[in-house]
Amino acid sequence: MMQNPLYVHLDLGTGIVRQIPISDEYFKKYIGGKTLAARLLLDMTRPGIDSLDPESMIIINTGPLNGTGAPSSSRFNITFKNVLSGGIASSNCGGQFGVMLRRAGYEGLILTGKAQNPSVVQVIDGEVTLVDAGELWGLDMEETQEKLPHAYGKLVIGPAGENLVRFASAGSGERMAGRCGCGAVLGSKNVKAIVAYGTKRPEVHDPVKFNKFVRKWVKFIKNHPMTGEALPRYGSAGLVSKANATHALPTRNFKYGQFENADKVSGEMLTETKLTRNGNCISCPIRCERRVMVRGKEVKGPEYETMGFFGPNIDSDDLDAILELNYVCDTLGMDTISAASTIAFAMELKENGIADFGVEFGKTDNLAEVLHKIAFREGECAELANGSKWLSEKYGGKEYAIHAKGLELASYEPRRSVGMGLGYATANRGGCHLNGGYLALLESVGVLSMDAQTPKGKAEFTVFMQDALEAVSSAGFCLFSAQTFVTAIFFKLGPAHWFTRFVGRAATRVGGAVRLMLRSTSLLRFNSFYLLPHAEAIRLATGFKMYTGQFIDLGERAFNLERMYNLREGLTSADDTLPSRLTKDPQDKNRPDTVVSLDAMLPRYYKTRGWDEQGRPTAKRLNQLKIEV
Amino acid sequence: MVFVKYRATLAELTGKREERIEAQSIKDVLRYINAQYGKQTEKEAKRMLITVDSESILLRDGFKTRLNEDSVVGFFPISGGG
Repeated sequence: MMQNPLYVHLDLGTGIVRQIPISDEYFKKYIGGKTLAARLLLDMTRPGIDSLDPESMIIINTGPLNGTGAPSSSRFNITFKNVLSGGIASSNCGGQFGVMLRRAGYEGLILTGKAQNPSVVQVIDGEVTLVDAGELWGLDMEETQEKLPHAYGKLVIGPAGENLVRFASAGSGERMAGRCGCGAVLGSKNVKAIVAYGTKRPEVHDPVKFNKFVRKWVKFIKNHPMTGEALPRYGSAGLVSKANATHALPTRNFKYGQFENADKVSGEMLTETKLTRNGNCISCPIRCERRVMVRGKEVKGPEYETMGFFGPNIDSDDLDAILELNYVCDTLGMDTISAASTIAFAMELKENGIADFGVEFGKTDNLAEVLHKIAFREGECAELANGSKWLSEKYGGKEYAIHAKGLELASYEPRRSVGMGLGYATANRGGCHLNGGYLALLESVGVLSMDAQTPKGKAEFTVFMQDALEAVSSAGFCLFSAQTFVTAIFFKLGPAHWFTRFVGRAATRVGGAVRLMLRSTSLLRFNSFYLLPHAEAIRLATGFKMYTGQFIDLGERAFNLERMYNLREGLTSADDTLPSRLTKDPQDKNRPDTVVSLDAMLPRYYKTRGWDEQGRPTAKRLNQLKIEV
Repeated sequence: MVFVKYRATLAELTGKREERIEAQSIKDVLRYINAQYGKQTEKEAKRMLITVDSESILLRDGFKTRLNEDSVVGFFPISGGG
């Protein structure tokens, strides 16, 4: 068996350090990453603490696969109280910090309290200390990391985190834990950086079988059309053309779903005109990262979300501006999705004569300056640092403030991907496509095409996908590694082939079967390499019984724990909603079905989850999942 | 004459990014590609996301989608991410 995880808790106010060994029961039941962190956040915090209160807790942890060499397994997780929603947040990141934390001797680091002065937390070979941040405070993310020892794993914040911008990110190398404001939580605790270094190698239960399995899996990933060809070639940015073709590309603050000049800001254009080379996270064979030149320097290029939000959603076709603004956000330490979406909302407020923050649709030349003002909370842009929900509560425009639970939606227009809409509304961290189950991949931007407008089958598929992605994430895997579950045959046939279309159409009719499967996980005592190799990797690494059924249970356990936290913090089923632009106002005025019909999907979603009509997990379901209340 | 835009692999296989051709449906365009650039290129074209006037043919009639004189046909690679 793999050794149980060891966590360490540092009270930043007192400097007291205590080791927290994770019990057998918790390790087997919650594995690691966001699932174990959600359990600990529930156990170790009292209700009602503000996210930026010194008493609040932030957990930075890994999964059992981090650092083992398994493909796409370097993601570490950060769990905390969501600054934008007041519910739970988990944000994950592909930098080297997680691997180094494990090498330093800990699977998780828990911080509470507030340091007296700006500080750096050091985790070096098992020893945890707090040192003065000195001249680091005030520096951007890039400068901060340059000043820290090269060999260390680093997790740092930029000026946005220091100034408590509610969507401030934290970064490790050029990878960001972008969403939900973890940078602000660290800033509120006077933590400028966390560094980790050590030489301990993570061990796996059965190294021979594990390494053989890893070699087979890497080969599979490299040969799959999605992870071996599409993602390396175009990155996630390749989705711009696909979303545009299905009216799912948010344009002008989600008013429309198509952009006239999408070609100019597409992933293909990015690859053909700007890409210098591919980059990758540790141990990832996919290599989807875009390297591009900005200000004469090679940096990480934008993902799909950033392409969409600093392009069509602000009515701009300026690819250079997207690259620049992506870089500015990364150095200032801000989530590109929330920053750009808040700006788009402010643009619409101006267009409607409600408020003027100096931003206009189609105008990008002042946006780098606007982002600086947001990060430093300066001048007329200071209020934009609070996000679109806060702005809409002060100025109005709630119907087109595009967020769920306070977190701005990702770049998929849900009126043309209604299952994605259900996912946004029910995701525990708010308007997130990944925590939301990412049905857009099956409805509008992938090779398969379920009927994107029908509510049929969407509740069941959303539950299944949400749970599967939670489980993948908990072990430390990148979610892109799960995209091989759409078998290669469909890519070979193409999206318009009759068989591919037939499968897509048929999927909406098998909701009942999916629901039955979710209720019969104890029967799924097998692992399918071609569908979910992650479960087998966890089994070989940890020595636990981990078959498909248990893997899905793990994800469901995670989702329910997060929901329990949200309910404890005062969120209710009334928060499982979307702005009325998306639920009441058809995208295509001639097609009444181009809205997100939440009323038709939510009751079935709650029922599929085994929750009551108010969206609360029932005692029976929690008992089946072995979750203690 | 319809306007055809080739992207990604198809731009490499045809050696062109765009051209104008005579076609009344997507099937005609695919036939043209077969005749002009070979069966393998047509096969590759069928695997791609095909659009007519920026809209996926999956939202229309698939390969049977009819074209107008001024239609713009696009071939884009399937991608992923999130």
